[in-house]
Amino acid sequence: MNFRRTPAAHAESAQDLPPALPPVDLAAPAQFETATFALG
Amino acid sequence: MEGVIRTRAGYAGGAKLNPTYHDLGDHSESLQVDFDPVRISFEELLELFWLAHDPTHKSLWTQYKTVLFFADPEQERAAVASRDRLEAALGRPVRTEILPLAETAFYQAEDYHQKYRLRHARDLMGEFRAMYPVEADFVRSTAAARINGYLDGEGTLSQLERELDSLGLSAAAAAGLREYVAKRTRRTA
Repeated sequence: MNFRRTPAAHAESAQDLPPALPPVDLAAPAQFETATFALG
Repeated sequence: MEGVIRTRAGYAGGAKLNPTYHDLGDHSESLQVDFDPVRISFEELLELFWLAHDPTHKSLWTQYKTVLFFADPEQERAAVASRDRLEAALGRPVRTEILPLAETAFYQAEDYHQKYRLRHARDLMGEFRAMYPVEADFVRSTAAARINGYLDGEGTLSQLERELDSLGLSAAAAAGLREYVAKRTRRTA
């Protein structure tokens, strides 16, 4: 599993950047649940 | 911790629309965690939640209330059962509230509140700036969430070693993070 998004650091221009990706890491599981807490 | 995919700091529990840190209204500072239920259960997260605060203390300030928000009836049942078990074990009332998230909303806090520890680790942050030129992508990054947790005192060295290669760091940054967690582990051993 690799959490890293395609690095843009080596892109030579905006055209070299990867296309728009979902705003999550690609390797994150598609199915997840969410918990919400207030911890004081 | 294992199975945590993303985290975000924010505000919840109140009625005010679009709260901000300086205009919080009736909301409480909150944390949202996306998790993989195959690797960590909601019940296991609840155990960590109870350990992370004093559930017998009731804050006088809405901003700093302790609340367990449930998203659905299943989470509500687990939350109430967990609270009742804790109360029986303590022999004292648990004053942490259990509230439906549906009646309010979770508002994500300003970017500078997100991944707070990581933001202040200059070398690591430099690498994340290169990996995530767009701030929103950084905030939603699993790697950022996990490294922020290690920097905040969570996780063990063996956990880090199992996933270090997947976090996208250079060899030097990975070694630095490993040394940081190793030192912390030695201090607390």
